[in-house]
Amino acid sequence: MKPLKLFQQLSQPPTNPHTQPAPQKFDVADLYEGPASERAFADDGGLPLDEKLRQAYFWIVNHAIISPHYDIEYHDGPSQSYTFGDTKAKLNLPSAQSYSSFVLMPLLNFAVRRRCLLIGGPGRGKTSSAVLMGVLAGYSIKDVRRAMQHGQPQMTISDLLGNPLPADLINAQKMEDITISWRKWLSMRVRIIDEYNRIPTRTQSALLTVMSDNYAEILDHIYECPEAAWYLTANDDAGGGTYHVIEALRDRIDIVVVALHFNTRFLNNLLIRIEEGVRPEEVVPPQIVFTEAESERMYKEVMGIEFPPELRRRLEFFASQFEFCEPAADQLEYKTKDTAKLASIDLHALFAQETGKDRLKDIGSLTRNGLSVRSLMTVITFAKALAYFRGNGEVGIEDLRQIIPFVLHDKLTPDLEAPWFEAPGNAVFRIDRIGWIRRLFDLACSEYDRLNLDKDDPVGELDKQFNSGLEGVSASEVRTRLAKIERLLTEWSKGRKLYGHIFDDLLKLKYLHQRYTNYLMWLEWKA
Amino acid sequence: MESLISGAFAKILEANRHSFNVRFAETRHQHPSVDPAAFRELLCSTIAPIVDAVNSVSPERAEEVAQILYDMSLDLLSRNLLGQKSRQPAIAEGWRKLYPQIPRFIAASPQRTFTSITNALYHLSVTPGARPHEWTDNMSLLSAVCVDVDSWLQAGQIAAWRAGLAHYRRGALNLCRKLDPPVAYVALGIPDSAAGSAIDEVVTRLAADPWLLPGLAARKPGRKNLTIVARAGTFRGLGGLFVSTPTVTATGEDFLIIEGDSKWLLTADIFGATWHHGQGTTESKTQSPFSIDQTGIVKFEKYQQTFPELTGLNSFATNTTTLAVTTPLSFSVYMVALVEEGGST
Repeated sequence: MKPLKLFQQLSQPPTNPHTQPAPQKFDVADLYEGPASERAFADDGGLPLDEKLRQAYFWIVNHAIISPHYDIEYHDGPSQSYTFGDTKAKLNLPSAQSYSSFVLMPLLNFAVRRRCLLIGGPGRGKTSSAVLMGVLAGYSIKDVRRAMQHGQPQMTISDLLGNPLPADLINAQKMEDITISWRKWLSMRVRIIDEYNRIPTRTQSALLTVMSDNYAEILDHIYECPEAAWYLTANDDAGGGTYHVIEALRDRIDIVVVALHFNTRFLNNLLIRIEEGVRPEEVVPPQIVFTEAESERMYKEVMGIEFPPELRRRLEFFASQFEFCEPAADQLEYKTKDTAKLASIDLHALFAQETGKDRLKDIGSLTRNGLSVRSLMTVITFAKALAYFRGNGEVGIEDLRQIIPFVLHDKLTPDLEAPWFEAPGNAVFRIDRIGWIRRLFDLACSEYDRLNLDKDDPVGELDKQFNSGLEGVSASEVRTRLAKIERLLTEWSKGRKLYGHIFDDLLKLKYLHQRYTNYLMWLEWKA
Repeated sequence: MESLISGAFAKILEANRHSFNVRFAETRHQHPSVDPAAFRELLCSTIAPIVDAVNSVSPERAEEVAQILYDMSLDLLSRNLLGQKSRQPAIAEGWRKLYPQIPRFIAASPQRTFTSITNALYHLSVTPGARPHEWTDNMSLLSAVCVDVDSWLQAGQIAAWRAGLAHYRRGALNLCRKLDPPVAYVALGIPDSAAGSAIDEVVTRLAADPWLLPGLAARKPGRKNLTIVARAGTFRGLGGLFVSTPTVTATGEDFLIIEGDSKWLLTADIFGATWHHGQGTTESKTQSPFSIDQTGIVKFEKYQQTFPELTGLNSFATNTTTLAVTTPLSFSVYMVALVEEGGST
């Protein structure tokens, strides 16, 4: 008997058509292409992998996880907007294909093999979403369920990683003689840890090693794990688990997805499932299952997506806002929130010492920390994945804007006492972390535009000049460049207030000055 | 009185009753408009004869064929492409007429045959001016001379060009050179008695002149006249494309028709004219032997002809074989060419 079709219907490609007018080309072979598609019956449609990924997305939202939300909004031209209620709640009608973050982000995580945390109340589909990713990777539903690690207060390292064989423990003369029976989940390409905040702290440390370094260790025996997409779930990530999650483990989580509520208008979809006795994860169409080779190829294709320099500059500008803390040190290099944090002093009181700056406009004053290198790499990776998913060859600013809140969700800690949150309309951002980070990015972009940095970026020009290489640059040219840097620093020192982006620019200028100075010394020695 | 399904198909239905019923129920969940009576009628009148025909030549493939046809017909019925409410009745007629005649091709490659033929019928149905019935008839003739599905489907591409899909002309002519000459002659509609010339020679002549009938291409060239060979396009209120009179410009072998902000690519030859969105297409003029004046006098080398309907033209464009003209009094594009006598369709 053929599998049930009700939950097997796939969206017809192209799922995100791009309207690029091109001269018509006629191929007589097109005569036999059309509405009656062989693809619907074939096991392998031979689709490009980004198209397959989109098909997987649309299958999940249409049949598996009822998440009729379009919170990742894209616009192509003008779009309608409506406000409701006393709080002027805004409803946008996106004019381009938009997506549900709760389905899209785990899928992008599947494509780039990172670590995704799904948080939200019970019964919101977090575990189902993770299980579906396992099935998309080609594992049977039974294997995925059996391999899923359920966090619980008694979980030991052996429960998590594996056991030494009892006979070996008795007979072995040395450690190498002991054979370890490693848990099967360690070898899988999708790894699921359900309710990770119920795992005891010691076991969390073992999990940390697997997550961060991709190997497991028991009794001096090492198991090298393959690259995998991780899915961790938690009902309440803000301390509601049985155990406090160690910071290093939390820091390894690349992207956080919040489960959205169930819209009761879609109850009929549940009714059909009950009546038909169908569990979507059991009827995943084979056309959207990714083989190991396809996953590998998809990852390479994602990494091949271009990240344009002008977008990279915006990301640099945004990221530069957060680390700087003027009162934290005497020497410029140490004027960071990290310095203050290591000194264990009251950060908010320290921030209050900053005078002369508009704290309503300085977005750097809204966080208690800066961004790590890992966070920035994750932003770039997921932005590429989103552009790839949308069928684009390079990342766009909207891709970046949409991805940043999910990657930085647990990475940027707000200073909830900052005056900015008291401003009209901003109080809600104390609760809405996604909206807050997106607003931060928007504010950073506005400031970037106001400063006209796309066109007038002297540090960028100097950097470009330096990156073209020092070979063959004469001593007089080096002196000219050094003078240019010094002139710029002199100009900036006259009355400019110090903000995060200027802090990074100053250090960059110092770096360039030092590199030129060293080179000049070498030239003079050579002469 | 309702007709009953009997024979091989009836046995297959009975043996797979539960599976077939579930699939129908699933489709109805998704498409509540699917009418059980219409589907039953489709099974009786269309599917059963096909399955029986396959069963007669290859009984071991009958069930597979029935399964594929069941799913495909249900899918097409749900999209109103089959059944009594079909938007394209030529598809069902093609199924009824053609499939029972080709059981050996179906048995050899059922999925490919059904998909290809259905898609071809669909394209011919939705292209204004194309002739799906003519194509079905020609496919019947071709099934008698083709040895396998591959050659039959390739010949079908040539037949589709002849049935009005003018934009496939170049590809179809290339296929003529690849097929066995007897098949190519049938595909081109050249009768045995006229098939004197070598196929390469015929194809070369056809490639050089889009207004030459294949039957004439196989004979010695005859006398020629300047003639209005086609009138393409009409007022939108009459089912055409235009709300105002268009203008024409050349783009290689084809013509770009402009009406307000809209651009259309017109491909035309002796078998028909097809319209395509012209965004992205640019003007490209070639040397042409045609000329025309405001009084409607067309000149081509030593030939000259007056066409009163072209008087007061508002635009014209030419390529090496065709003159395209628009006038302020018509929503159509007139096409003038030098054709052999007896060469119009």
